[in-house]
Amino acid sequence: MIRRLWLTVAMGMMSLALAGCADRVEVERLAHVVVLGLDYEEGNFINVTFQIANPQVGSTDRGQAEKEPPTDIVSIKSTDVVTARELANTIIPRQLDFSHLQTLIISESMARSPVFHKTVSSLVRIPEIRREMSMIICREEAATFIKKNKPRMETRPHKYYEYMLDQWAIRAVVPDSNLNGYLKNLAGELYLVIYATTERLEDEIFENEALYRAGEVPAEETDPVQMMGSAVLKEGRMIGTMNGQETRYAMLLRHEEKVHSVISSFPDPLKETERVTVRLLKTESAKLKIDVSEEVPRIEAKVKLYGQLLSTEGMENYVTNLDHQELLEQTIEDVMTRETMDFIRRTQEEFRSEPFNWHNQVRKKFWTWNDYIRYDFIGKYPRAEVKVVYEVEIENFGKQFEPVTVNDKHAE
Amino acid sequence: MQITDGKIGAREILSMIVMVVGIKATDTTPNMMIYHAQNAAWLFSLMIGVVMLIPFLVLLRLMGRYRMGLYDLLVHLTGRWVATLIVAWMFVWLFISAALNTRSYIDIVNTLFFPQTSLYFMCLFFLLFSWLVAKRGFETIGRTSWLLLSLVVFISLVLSVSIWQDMNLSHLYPLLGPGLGDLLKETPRHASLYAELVLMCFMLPYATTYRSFRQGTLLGYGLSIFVIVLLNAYYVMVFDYPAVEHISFPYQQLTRAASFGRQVAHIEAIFLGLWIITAVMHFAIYLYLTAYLFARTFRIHEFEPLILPLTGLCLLLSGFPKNVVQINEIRDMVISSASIVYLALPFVLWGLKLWRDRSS
Repeated sequence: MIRRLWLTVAMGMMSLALAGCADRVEVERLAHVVVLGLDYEEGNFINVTFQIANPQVGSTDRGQAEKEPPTDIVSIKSTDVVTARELANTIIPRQLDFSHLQTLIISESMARSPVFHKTVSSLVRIPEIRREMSMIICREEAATFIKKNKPRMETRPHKYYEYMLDQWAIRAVVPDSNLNGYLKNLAGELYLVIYATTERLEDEIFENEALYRAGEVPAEETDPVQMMGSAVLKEGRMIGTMNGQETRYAMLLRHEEKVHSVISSFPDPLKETERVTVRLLKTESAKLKIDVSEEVPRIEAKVKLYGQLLSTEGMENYVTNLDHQELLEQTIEDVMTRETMDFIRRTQEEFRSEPFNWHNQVRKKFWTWNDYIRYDFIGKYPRAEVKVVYEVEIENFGKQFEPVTVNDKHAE
Repeated sequence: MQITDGKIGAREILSMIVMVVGIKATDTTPNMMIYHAQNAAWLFSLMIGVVMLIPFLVLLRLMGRYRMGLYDLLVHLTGRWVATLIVAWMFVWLFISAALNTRSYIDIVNTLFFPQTSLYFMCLFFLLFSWLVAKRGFETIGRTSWLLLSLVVFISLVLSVSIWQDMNLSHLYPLLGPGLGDLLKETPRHASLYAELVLMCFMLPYATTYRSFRQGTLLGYGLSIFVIVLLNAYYVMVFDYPAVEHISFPYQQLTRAASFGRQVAHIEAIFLGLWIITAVMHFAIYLYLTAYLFARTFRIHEFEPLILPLTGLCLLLSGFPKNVVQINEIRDMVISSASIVYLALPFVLWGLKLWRDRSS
């Protein structure tokens, strides 16, 4: 009996220790930063923007704080993120906390400056920073981007980014970019980062819908942000942009990347002015043959795609007519191969490096790290002979056979 | 109530080996392996495992032949004085390792989870709990380890599944990393990373039978090596070499990457909790072994009361290093200087046995 009493008392005492000592925090006293923006300032400074979520919005507690906005945005000029956070705490009564931070927004001018890599590499030192944090590069200042990004249907910003990224992850006109991926690709290969903007650019309207970049998609009266295409990073610095189509080809040619739904239109082979829209699925890894035995690497990529016919504006019969089917497959393959080769030439001449993660496959050809480094695949890539083969197989046609025509009387 | 004889069976020994060797995959040991073996750290850990297995098998054979624990075997084959000397050296080595490792474990917790809490307090509480476990005796440690083992295996599976998406097999290539020559050169130098296996041989008298001891140690060692190889491969597959070399605590960073979709993304607390409990078991075994070795050095019969003063001394020692980088440096030195002894000892004993057999 005494023993049991003693045990109970001891356990009670121990539970006191569970409260923690110096590092205890009350959830109520934390301000959760959900989006972090980085801008380049003159001299040694950066402008750090914190978007802090209001936990009362979107919860049952909403009635208590009806007039409060869903988020609070603070921009602080400082030399690094940590000191900026300290300065922000002179304004915000709650302690700024990064543990729910999932989105990092960087302005293009910052990404093009050498300050970018320094800032990001010291950012990962902060214990709460997660390497899975998404990275987005925006055309304008990150502070402006965050302030302007007020989607009408999504009040909570972290939900907005989450849904947006999930959506693009399957559609492949923007890459899936995060901090870990950036840190993995610093040795000369290209790393593609989501490109976004709130600005509208008056530009031409393309027939091929994937040729747009962020800000160029012709839309009116909508949510301000567009995410399309990618910013190209090499050795920790942004060196250019790619449009949606180029980003898509970069994804398709990656060995391991699966692309679940590429909806794309192609010129109708039977009617020049019209277009056929198909959904392409890449469910198998791209087959790569890389020959590194000679001075110039020879690369052969084979991509198998399954297609679904979605719309035929030209009203041609691609369903029951097997010859036409083959013609359509052939056209899609030709168009894609041509565009891909143009794109590869661009990477070889303009960027002088590859975004396809092919270097990861080249690694398999060598036994030791030194051999691999000595071969210098990235350095040789601009001269590499690349051959791309697409294999398109249309496997379903939507819920119609021939297109419905006007005045179809079925008279022989 | 069932009355026990204070002895433990194969499964308890198996789980103790996992607690004392397998857990090394989650502290700062992988840093050392990645530093020496680049992206072939998994291969390196496997090679060390194989190299350490050979002398251990010899030792097992000897113990089976004489039906003696390691201490009695040492006394029998080398004489009382040399045995005392060896045991004393082992005590010093283990004690320094225990102090260094305590500090390095606490550094992990301090850096990633409780940055404002005093290191000294954390060391104090950590060692206090380890002492509480250790003072209950060897049987309790064994049975608690066995209870925890299923959880450890389960959590490892959860970790594997939840980081599956972030892994990229091609990062493991080039397969040999720095080259076979370098790997072969570094392997024997780091053999004492798994030297606790040899130290566990002192505990043969606590096992029910020699057979169960052999079974337990071999299976436990196999499982430990498997876990270490697997986790080392995960680190490289998720973070990629050379980026992984800059990560100070790969396991803890890996648990941060663990997620089930975007919703369940912050689950590192589960891993931290179990990891701390396992670490307490790890140090309980360390403390128990140091007390045992100390007692054997000075021929003290009753050694369990010694655990408390040794724990205090361990606390004191662990305060000396300045930071984790210094610890890693000292640790690398301690490990590479001791390897040769642990590798050679069983063969020396075997030689002595042969010599003795011939002369008698």
